[in-house]
Amino acid sequence: MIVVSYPNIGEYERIVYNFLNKIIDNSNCKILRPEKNNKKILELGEENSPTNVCTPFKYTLGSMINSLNKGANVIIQIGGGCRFGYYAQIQEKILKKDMGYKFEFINLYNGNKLEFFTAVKKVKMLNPRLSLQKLLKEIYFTIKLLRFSDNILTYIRENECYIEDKEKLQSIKNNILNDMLKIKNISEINLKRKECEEEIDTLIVEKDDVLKIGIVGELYSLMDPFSSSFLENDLLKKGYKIKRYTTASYLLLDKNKSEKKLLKDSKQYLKYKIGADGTESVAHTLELIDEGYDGVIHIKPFGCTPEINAMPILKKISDDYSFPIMFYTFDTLNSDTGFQTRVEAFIDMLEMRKK
Amino acid sequence: MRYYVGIDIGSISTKGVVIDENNNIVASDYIWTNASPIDASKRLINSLIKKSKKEWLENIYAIGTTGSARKLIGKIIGATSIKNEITAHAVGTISKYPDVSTIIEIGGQDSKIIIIKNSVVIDYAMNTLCAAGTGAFLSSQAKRLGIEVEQMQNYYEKSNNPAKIAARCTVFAESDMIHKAQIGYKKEDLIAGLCNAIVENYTNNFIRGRRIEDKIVFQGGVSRNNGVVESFKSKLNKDIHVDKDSHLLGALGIALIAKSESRGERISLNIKDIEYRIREKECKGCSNNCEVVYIYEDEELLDTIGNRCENCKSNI
Repeated sequence: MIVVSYPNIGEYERIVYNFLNKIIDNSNCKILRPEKNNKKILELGEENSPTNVCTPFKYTLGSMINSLNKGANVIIQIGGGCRFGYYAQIQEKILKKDMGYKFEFINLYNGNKLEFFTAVKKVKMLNPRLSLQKLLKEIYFTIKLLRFSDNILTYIRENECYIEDKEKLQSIKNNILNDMLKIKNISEINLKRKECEEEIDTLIVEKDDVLKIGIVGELYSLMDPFSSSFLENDLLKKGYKIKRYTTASYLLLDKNKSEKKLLKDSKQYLKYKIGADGTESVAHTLELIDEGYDGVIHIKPFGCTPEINAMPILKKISDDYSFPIMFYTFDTLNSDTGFQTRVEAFIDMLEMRKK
Repeated sequence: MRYYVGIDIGSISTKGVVIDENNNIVASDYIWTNASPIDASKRLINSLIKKSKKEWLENIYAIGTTGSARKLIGKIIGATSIKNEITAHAVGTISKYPDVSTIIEIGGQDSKIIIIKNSVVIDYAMNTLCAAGTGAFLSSQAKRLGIEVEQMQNYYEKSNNPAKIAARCTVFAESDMIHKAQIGYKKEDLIAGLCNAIVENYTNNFIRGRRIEDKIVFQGGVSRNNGVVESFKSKLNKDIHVDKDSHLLGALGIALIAKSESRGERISLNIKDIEYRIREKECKGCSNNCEVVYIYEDEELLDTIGNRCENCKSNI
C-alpha cells in the first residue's frame, strides 16, 4: 500500500490533497494529509537541518519527518527559484542517509526546472494506470481551483476590514476551505465563486479612515501563518486593511509573465532581477505607495538571500518617499513577544502619522 | 485632582511613576527586576503606595503598563492601558521635550532609536535577536570586573587610554576584554573601552543611514552611566540631553497614554500579596496550537496570554 504525503504550506495543502485524490488509485494508495505547521514540526525540522539553512527548509523537513513517522512511504516535494531549488535534494539525503528512513522520494523538479514529462513519469508511480489525458484534465481543474481559492481569499483579505459580521465571514471562509478539499469539477467552482462573491458583497460596509498596510517579503513566511507568528490574522483581527500580492497562483502561474513589467515599473531602483521574490518586494512596495497605503511590513526568514538583496533598496525607497517600512526576520523563534512589540509600535507610528 | 500610574516592567529594572493631572511626576521608584517581574511589581507598587499621599491613591483614574512584562503584570493588576515600550518612550519624551527629534534609548536587553518630526514618530528601529550593546552587557561585564554597574562612570572619568574593544558581538567583546585585561590594561581603561563599545555598537546598528538631528535625548537605564553619555557626545559630536528622570520616561509615557485612554472611572492601585502561578502550555483546543501562558491567582485561573481564541480556557 502506498501512503503518499507532502510538506505543508498554509492552506494550500488542501488543494494538493484534492488533486492527488483524483489521480491516485484508491485500491492501493492512500493520502496522508500533513499536519498544519506547529511547534513540534518546527522542532523536528530544526533538529535535523543544517543550522544556517533558511527557515522554510526546516518547516518542510519537519513536516516530512512528521508524516514519515505517521506511516507515509512516498513523499512529494518541489523546488525552484532560489535555494529552494536544492531543498528536495538535500532533504532526500537527510531523510534517507542521515535518518535512515526508507521511502520513495518524488522530486517533481529537476534542479530549477519543471520538466513536464519527467514529472509525469514520477507521478505515474502513484498510479501506473493514470492516463495522460486524465492527468492533464486534473491539472487544468487544479489550476482553476487554485485561482478560485486565491482570488476569493485575497478579495476577503482586502475587504475584511469593511465587514462587521465576523461570524458570517468566518463561516464563508470555512466553506471555502472545505471546498478546497472536496470540490469536484469546474462548473461547481464557477457556481461557488459567484455565490461567495455575492455573499461577501452583501456584508461589506464601506468606511473611511482604515489603516492600510501592505505585507511583502519571502513567500513561505507570507503564505504560511504559523511561520510568521500569525501576523496577517492578527492585523486583520484589529481591523486594518491588508494587501499581499504573493499567492501560490501568482508564483506558479503569473510570475513569469509579470516579472518584466515589475522590473519596468521599478526601473528607478532595479536594473535586473534580484532573485526569487526580491524583485516583487521592491516593485510591490512601489505599487503600494502609489495606491496610498500607510505602511509596509517586510518579512523574511533568516538567511533568505533574495530578500536580503531587496532590503537596502527598500530602505532607499523608504527614505525617498518618507514611507514607513518595517523589517522583520523570522527564525525558529519560540516567543512572539518581540515581534508583536515591534508590530504594535509600527502601527502606533502609522496611526500617529495619519493623524 | 486626578492621578495616573505608569509602570514599566523591563528585563533588568522595573520602574513606576504616579503623575498628577498636569503630568508632573509626584512619586516614583526604580528597582531591579531580578528576573521575577511579579515580585518586582509587588515591591514597586508597595513602594509607590508608601510614597503617595492617601488623597492621591483615592483618586487614581488609570493605570498603564509597558515593558517586556507588560501583558503579564497588566493582567494581574488590572491595568487600563497596556502598550509597547517604543510608543511609551516616545510619548514620555515628547511630553518633556516637545522639540526632540532623536531619542536614543538603551535599556536592559534592548536598544532603540526613535526619530521624531513635529512631535510625531516617523521612524524607529530596535535591536534584533541579541543583547549586544545593551545594559545587560554592561552589567555582566561589571560583575566580571568586580564592580557595581553604578560605579562604572567613576572609572570612566579616570581613564586616559581607553582599551579598544570589539563592539559587534557580546561574545567577541568579552574575549577582547579578557585579553586586554590579561595584557595589563587598567580597570578604568577597560571600563572606558566598554562604554565606547556600547556607543560603537549603537552607531553601527542604528545610526548608519539615518540623519541624526538636534535635539537628541538619551534615556533608558544606561543613560544613567555618564561614561556612555560622554562617549556618545564625542562620537556624534553633538549635544546629548539626559533628563533627570531619564530612566523613568517609559513609565511616564505609559502613564500619559493611560491618562489619555482613561474612561473616567476610579481604579485602585494594588497587587494582592498572594502567590501568582504561571504555567506555559501548548493548547490543543484547535489547530493553531498556541503557546498559552495561564496566570493563576492562587488556584483560580485569572487570565491567559498568547491565545488566539477562547478555546484554551475550557481546555486546560
